[in-house]
Amino acid sequence: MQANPKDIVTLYHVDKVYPPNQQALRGIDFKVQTGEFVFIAGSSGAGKSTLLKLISAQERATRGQVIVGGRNLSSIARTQVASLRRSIGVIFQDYKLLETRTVIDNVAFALEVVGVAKRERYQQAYKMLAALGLKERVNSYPLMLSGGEQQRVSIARALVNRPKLILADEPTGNLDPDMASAVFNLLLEANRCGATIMVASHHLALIEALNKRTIVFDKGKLIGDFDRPRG
Amino acid sequence: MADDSDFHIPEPPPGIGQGFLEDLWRLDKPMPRMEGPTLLLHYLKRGFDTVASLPTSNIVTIITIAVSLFLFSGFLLIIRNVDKILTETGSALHVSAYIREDAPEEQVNAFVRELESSAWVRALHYVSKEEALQSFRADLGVHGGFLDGLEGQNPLPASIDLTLQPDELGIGNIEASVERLRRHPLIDDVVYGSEWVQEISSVVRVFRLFGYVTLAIVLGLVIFLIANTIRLVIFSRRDEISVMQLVGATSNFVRVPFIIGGIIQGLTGSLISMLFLAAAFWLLNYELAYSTLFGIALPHLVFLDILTVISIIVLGIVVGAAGSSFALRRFMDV
Repeated sequence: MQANPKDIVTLYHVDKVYPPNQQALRGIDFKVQTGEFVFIAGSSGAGKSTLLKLISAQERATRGQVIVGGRNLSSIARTQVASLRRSIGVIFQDYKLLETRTVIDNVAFALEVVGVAKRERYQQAYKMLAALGLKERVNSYPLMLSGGEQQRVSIARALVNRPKLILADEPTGNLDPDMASAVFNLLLEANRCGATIMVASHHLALIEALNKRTIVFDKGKLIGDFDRPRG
Repeated sequence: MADDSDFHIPEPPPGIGQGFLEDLWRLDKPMPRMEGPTLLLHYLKRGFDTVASLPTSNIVTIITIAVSLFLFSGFLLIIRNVDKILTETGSALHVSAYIREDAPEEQVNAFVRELESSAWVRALHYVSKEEALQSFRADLGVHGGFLDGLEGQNPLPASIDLTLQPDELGIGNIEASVERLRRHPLIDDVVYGSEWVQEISSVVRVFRLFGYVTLAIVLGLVIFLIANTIRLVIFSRRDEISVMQLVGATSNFVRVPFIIGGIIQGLTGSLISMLFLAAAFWLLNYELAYSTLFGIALPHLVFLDILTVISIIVLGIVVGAAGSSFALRRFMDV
C-alpha cells in the first residue's frame, strides 16, 4: 500500500490478536494527516491503548499495515524502531517518570539516550520545564510533585525531542479538571507548533469541549470518525 | 479524577500565555551529540553504574571469578614448574634407542633422518658401534686395556641418543613417543629416565586434566553467575530501560553499559586472581629458598609467563562480556 506523504499515520485493514485468541482490534482503517489533533475515543477495553502501542511500535499488528512517518511497521527492522521512536513523543496516564531521578534528570534522560551532549541536554530540559511552568521544581523528585505537575514533567520529556507525533494515552485520567485543562493546553500548544497529536481518552466532556476530530472505537472496531463535530 | 460535568475549555497554566512553546520549539541548529571519547566516557560511566547499582551481587560475582581463575591459574603454575624441574634434570627427556645388530645400514640412516625431522625430537646423536666402543674405552680409563682381548669383536650395539621436545604443557607425550620408538622394527631396546619420571608424568597428566575440567565447570558457573547478576540489574532498572526504549534509545545504547558492567566484573576478578596468585607464589618461593630436602636445596620456582597472565585476564574479560550478553539476550528485548 502506498502512503500519502501528507499522512503521518495510516492504518490499513489492521487486526491485532493477543494470544491465545483475544481480538483487540479488528479491520481498522484510518489516516491522520500531519499537524492534526485527533482524539481516539471509546470505553475501557475498546482498543485505544493497543492502537497507540501499534503506532509507537511497541506491538506489531497481527494483520494489515501500520505506516508511520512513511515507515511500514509490519516490516520495520528492529534497528529502525529506535529512529522511529525519536520522532514520537509518548505520554501515559501513570506518567512513567523515574522516581530515583530529579525532574530535570527525567527530562534530560530523553535527550541522553539519543546521544545529545550533556550541557545541551540540561539546557534544553531546563528551558522546556521553565516553559511548562516547572522552573521551581527542576531539582525535586517526581514523588514530591502533584499529579498535574508530574504529568507536565512527562509532557516536557515527550516534547524535549521536538517530536513530529505525540501519542497520549489517557493523559488526564488521574487528574482533576483544572490540572486536565492545563495538560490539554500544553498539547494544543505543541499542536500549534506543528506536532501531530493523538490522544486516547474516554473523557467525553473534554472531547466535546475541544472540538477536534474524534475516531470512536468499540470492542476493537472503529465505529465512527467525526471530523470537527461542531464544524 | 476528571469529572465530565466539571470540564471546561482549557486555560493556559498560571503565568503562561498562548505561544509559549513557539520560540523554544524551533531549533536554530541540531543539538550537539556525544561522539568519540565523550560517548565512550558516557558508556563507561553507565557501565560502572550498573556495577555500583547492586554492590552485593556484583562483589559476590567478582569474588567467584577471582577464586575460579585463581584455582585454574594455580594448576597452570604447578604444571609449569613440574615441567621445568623435569626438563632441567634432563633425565625425563633423554632417551637411548639401541639398534638391532642385523639392521641394514641404509634403513638405519633413513630412520635417523626421519627422526631428525620429527617434531617431538629436539636433538639427536647417532652413536655407531665404533663410537660406542671408544666411549666405553674412555669411560674405563686406565682399565681400557681389558677391551684389547675382544680381538676385533665389538659386542656394543649402535644407538641413537635422543633429546625429546616436551609438548606445550609438559612431559605427557614422552611415554607415547618412547613406546612408538620401542615398537619400531629396527630398534632392539629403549632406555629412558626412571620410574619416578613416569609417575610424575602421570600425576602431571591428571593435574592437567583436572585443571581443564575445573576450568570448564567454573567458567560455566561464572557465566551463569554474571548472567544472573546482570539479570538482577536489568530487573531493578526495568522502568528505566523501558523509558529508554520508548524515547528512542538504540539497542546498542541500552546494551553497551551492561556489557561494560560484565567486562568490569571479569577484569576485576581476573586481576584479583593474578594478584593473589603472585602473592601466594612469592610466599612459596620465599619458603623454598630457605628450605632443604635431605640436605638438597629445593628448586627455585618460576611464575606464569606474561602471555599466560594476559590470556587469563583476557579470559576474565571475555567471560564477563559473555555473561552479560547471555543475560541481555535472555532477559531483555533489545
